Amino acid sequence: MISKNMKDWIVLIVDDELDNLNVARKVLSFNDAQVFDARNGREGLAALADISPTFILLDLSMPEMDGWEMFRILREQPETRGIPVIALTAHAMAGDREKVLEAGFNGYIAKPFRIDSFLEEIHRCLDEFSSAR
Amino acid sequence: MCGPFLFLILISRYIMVLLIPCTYAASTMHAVFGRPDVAESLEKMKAFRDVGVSLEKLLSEAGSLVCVFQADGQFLYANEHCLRLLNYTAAQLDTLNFFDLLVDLNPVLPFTDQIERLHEGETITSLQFGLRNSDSTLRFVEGSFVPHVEDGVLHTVTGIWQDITGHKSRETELNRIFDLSLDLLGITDFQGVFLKLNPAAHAILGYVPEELIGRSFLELVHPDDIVRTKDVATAAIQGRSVLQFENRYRHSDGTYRWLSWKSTSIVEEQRTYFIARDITRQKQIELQVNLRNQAIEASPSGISIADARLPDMPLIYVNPAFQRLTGYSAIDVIGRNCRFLQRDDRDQAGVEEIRQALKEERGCTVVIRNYRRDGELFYNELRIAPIFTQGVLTHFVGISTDVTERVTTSEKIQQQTEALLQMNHSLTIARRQAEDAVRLKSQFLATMSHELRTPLNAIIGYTDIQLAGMAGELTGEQRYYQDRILVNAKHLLELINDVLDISKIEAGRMDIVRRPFVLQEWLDDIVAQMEGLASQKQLTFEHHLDDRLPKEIVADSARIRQIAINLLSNAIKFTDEGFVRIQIHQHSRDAWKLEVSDSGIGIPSHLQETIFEEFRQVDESSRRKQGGSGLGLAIVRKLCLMMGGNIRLKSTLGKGTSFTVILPLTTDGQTLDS
Repeated sequence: MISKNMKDWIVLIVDDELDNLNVARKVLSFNDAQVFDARNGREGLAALADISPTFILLDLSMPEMDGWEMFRILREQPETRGIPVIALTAHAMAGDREKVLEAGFNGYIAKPFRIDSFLEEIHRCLDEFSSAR
Repeated sequence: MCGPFLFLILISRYIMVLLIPCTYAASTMHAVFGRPDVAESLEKMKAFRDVGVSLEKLLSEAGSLVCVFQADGQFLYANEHCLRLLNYTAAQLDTLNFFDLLVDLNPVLPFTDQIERLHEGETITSLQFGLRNSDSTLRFVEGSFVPHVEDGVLHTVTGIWQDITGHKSRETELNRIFDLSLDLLGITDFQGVFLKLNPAAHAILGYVPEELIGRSFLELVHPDDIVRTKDVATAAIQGRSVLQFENRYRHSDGTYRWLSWKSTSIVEEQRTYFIARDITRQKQIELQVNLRNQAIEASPSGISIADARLPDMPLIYVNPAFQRLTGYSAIDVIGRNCRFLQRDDRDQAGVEEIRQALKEERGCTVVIRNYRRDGELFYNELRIAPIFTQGVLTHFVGISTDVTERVTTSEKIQQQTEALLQMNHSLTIARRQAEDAVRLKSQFLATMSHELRTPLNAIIGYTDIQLAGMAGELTGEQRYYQDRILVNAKHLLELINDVLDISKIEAGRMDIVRRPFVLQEWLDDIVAQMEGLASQKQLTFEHHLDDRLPKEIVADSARIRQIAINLLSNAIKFTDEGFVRIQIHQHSRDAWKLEVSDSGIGIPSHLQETIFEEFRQVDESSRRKQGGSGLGLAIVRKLCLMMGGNIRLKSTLGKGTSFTVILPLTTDGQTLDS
């Protein structure tokens, strides 16, 4: 059971765009969540050696290792298989959402997002994730 | 051959004439010498004796053998001829018995059977028999036996014979040859009745000669040959010889044999002498050969035969089809090598192949260019086969078929195929280029979408953060400006979405993905998204799902959702009071209906037809007031069409508008991919 209280959240945001990273980090840390960030998939995986996040917000298009590849590795490793992963992406053309959910992501947030819907989608995903357990 | 027979007949007649006085003389002599008690004058007796002596003398002078023997065969008298024939002296006569010397020649009617006739007093004439002389040599004799019967008892027999030994041996020789002949030999009378036939009749016709003698040859002639056989027979009995006349005779087994006849008719004798040869086998071969010749002559393929033993292998035969094919007549080509059909292009591969095949004495099949007599080109499919006689190559037979049409057709096909391949290649390249262009275009669109959204996210995000007070309190003016940034950013986002969508549709990269989904869930999701917007404008938001529809349908839920959201956004946008409503109904057995209606400003009738075109809005002021790219309905309509449906519009100015989308209804199991 994941806490609904954002104070209890440890969030890893993986995004190569500084501005996007800033916005997501600000919204979450403003709500007292503990936020870590990484600038690509490889850094994201490295960060998981030190932290055990409540969930991961994962951009898809990134240099070095993109979100798809990182997601694949996360799901392969037993120790990371159980972490909810929400795609946070500017790939928002018709069909993109379906493609992401079909791949096994726990949620999908299209950029640009509004703060309200951003938090709503995270809560929804976590609820769904908890009830599926 | 008939000469001696005729002579014999004459002789026997002569003897018959003499018989009566002779018998009379004999009986008289017996009367004179055997019964002296009868009173007769000496003069009369002497006269009778003189007659007897004279007759005996006369017969001896004619070369006749004269003898007298008792009923038991004991000789009493034999004249000089007779003794000479038997090679005995008169003194030895007492020891001789006729029956000891007799050799019966007639197995059918033995002499011993004829003795009975003599006892009856009957004279036997023209009898042929053999006599064995002192050195056991067989002599042939023909003549008469005159019995002398008294009081019903045979006393003596007088024999008056001719020596026919020389004649008989000649006849025997001829008979042996006659019997040996494999050809049919025989004699008929002028009515065609067989008088004599040799044993070959059995081998040839299955009858022993005796079965046929007495019957007319016409009985055996094949019905189809009767008329001409009669014609020939008629000519023959007028004395004309027949040579190599052929007709069919019925064998005893019912089959027919071909016979070839040669005959001579002797008018004086009223006889025809013939020889006939069984030519059935030759005839069959001849018929077969004829049939084959006819087949070759009638063959639709050109057939030619070349003599392989002569220098340069000249043609010795061409059939009519060859003449028609080439335009050359047989006279033109016999004796020439068939290369006259070629022109300057003798170096063709086919010709070389023929040369090689002829050299190796084997067959081959080639197609070569040949020229008719009039110079016209034709393609000759030539098959050549060697003919060997007892292992030695003697001839080549060639079969020519005109395959010009086939060759030219296949050449044409080849050309057309090459052209098509070329065209296909060009099309493939063009298609690949087009595909590349489309792929590049959609890649570009995807990239553009991503790249435009990313900075917009920063703008909207930062603005939201400030408006949410996360970066400290804002003044009223600052809040107003941040609000305007947000409104414009949202408008920009909408424009980006629409432009990208329409571009994607235009580029043909908008894919329809049909999957099963639950209608109620789908509708709930839309309601959740749009309800808030409607309530912001104090509009009633109504929704309804027809429960007659299947729970789950197969369609592209994302595209239909895009349509519904677009129509609902418009409805909310252009309605200031009242309601917006979304309804889903069954339309027909295989279609369903999505209806979005409102109580808004409505669309003037003159604009209703063009409202679905790109960049159309009811008026410029409304665009300025309401925002929007003017692409929404164009996108909706295109999506409807892409999914095999359509969209209709009903609107009254100032009262409201209703859009109806009709879409094909597919349930699971009937999934169709576009």
